[in-house]
Amino acid sequence: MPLVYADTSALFAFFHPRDEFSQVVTDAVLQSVPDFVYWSFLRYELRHNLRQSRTDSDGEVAWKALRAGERTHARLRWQSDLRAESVIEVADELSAQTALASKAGSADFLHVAAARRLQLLSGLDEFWTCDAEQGALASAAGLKVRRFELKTPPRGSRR
Amino acid sequence: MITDITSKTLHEKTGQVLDRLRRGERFRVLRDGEPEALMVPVDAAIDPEWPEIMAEVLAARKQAKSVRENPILKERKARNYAARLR
Repeated sequence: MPLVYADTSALFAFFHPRDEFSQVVTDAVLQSVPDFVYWSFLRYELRHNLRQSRTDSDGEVAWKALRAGERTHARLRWQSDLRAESVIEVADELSAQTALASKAGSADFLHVAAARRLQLLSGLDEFWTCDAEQGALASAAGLKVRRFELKTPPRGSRR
Repeated sequence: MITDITSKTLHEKTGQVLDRLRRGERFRVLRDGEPEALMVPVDAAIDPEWPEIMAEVLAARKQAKSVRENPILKERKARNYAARLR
């Protein structure tokens, strides 16, 4: 199974049935059947956003699915090599090189730094995101990027 | 897919169950109506696959009549807007 670093935008879309990117991300998962990288910052950011969405039955379904995924230890593959302090060091180096040319935020740099570190340590197949700026940063860092886009605004969308 | 089986049936039809396991089937053993154990083929991954984990999410998405903006992208847009105001 390919090992994919999906950032929080992509993982949230995968777990939440009403996210605007839910369909495209799920299609990609069913097609390539990846295991996802999981580490402390990604877990915190994903859990935080899913906790805040637990206001209705869809949010509850998403939370339950995340917890089931976490219990597998395989589909969400915990990376003990990704320690926060070392990833922050890599992110700082990346920021020093590219901050001026990028609109990506500090958390985005952390994701790309983690993925790049993992790529060097043990290999990584792809980096998935729904975010254009995050995707551009990952691509500039030498990662193979799959960026999800909405082809047409879904019917009945509510913003 | 996981097939539910009672502990009584497992006791009475162990050979048949093992044959079905060999063909790749998975079982959940119920005792007094409550799930007690899982049985999977010896060479199968114990961890469930994504379609199994996401069954309720996929069903909920079919029922969804509207979609919501991705909260991570929404936060970014808000941050960029605030940055432009500064």
